[in-house]
Amino acid sequence: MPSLVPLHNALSQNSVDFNSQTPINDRGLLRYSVQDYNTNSHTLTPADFNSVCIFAGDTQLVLSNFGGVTPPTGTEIIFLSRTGYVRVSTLNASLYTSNGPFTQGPYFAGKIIHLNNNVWVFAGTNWNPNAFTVNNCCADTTTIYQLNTSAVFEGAMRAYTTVDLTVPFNGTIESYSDPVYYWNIFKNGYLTSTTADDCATYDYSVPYTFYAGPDPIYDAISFYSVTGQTPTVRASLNGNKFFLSDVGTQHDCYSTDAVSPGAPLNYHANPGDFPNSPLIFMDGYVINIT
Amino acid sequence: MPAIVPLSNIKLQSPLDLSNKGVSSANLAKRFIFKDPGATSKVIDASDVGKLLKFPGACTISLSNNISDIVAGDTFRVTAPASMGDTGPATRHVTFSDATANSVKQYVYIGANNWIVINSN
Repeated sequence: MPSLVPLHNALSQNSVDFNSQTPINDRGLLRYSVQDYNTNSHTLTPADFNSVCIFAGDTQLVLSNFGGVTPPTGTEIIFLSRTGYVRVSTLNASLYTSNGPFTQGPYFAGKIIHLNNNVWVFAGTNWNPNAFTVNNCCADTTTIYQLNTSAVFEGAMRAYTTVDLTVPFNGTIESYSDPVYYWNIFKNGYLTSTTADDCATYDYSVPYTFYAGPDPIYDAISFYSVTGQTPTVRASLNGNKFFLSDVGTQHDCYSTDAVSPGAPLNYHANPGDFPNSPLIFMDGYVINIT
Repeated sequence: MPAIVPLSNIKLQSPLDLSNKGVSSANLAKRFIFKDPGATSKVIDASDVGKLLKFPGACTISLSNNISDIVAGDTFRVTAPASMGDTGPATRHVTFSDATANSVKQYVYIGANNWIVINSN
């Protein structure tokens, strides 16, 4: 075999004939370079074309028009965060997707490919759509119930149906939650709401008497909750939680022995209440007082 | 246009400037080389970078710590018709199920014994 012929600083004048050629060493023909920014915000630049961009923390990534530089069709950009999510927003560029996509978590890589005219598409599967998630104090369940309609998420967000968290609200599936029970609510992987009531515990050891039909006088039953409940004042029970037994001090999301697990059941706060106006319990929570 | 000048046994001393150049035929330079490890287990080494590894069935591959100088090198691997697991001393940061036959996974090495997964079925 003849010796190798070195070429220094070669510049091709036209398209290169790579017909049937392929790299032969272990290194291969590297597709990507690595840009280790180690920050939590970045506006993509031409230096990021065909690169793996690495960030840290919950990262806001801006896809812009690259200062007027048009990426070649087929340009790829890969991005990930070592310790958080990467959410992509656009500025004078288009990304075919639902609103506000983000990578699924640390080291999940997002990949986009340029079509043309600053229009990019997704490639790769490590994405989540717009979604709400919560930190669950009990690592137990993400289904919670509430009566309070006060805004937890901004109003526009309530229209989304593809959410990780669904909350039966007076019998209607809604997509927001009550931070009294869960804290640190995330939207698109970003912390959007906190409460000072971080995974607080309460003593569910006080018995209260409720009544089941059809003759409530003879169907009294004790449910256990925190001190200070007033079953005869129906509105005061909004969203409060009751257990079938004295479960002692627990997180709000504690579910063992909760009243009416998995299905709504009716009880009355007073003997002789109208049969058609019960309190509705589900998974421990009073979810309807009408 | 002058005739094409063949150059044999070229060794570039610096990166070839291919800026704004394309390939000129349908028979392109191949991005990956097919490789059949022919076993049900495989320790990934430098020779697997830039390869499409195809395994015959249920396999375990090990991401080793022996390719530290090939940052941004990547490899595909696929298995049919069974699942495949990953292990090894290098850190593979994200896991995906490989329950689907012919599922493909692409790894990219980002340095310091860290691998990421770009695509997965």
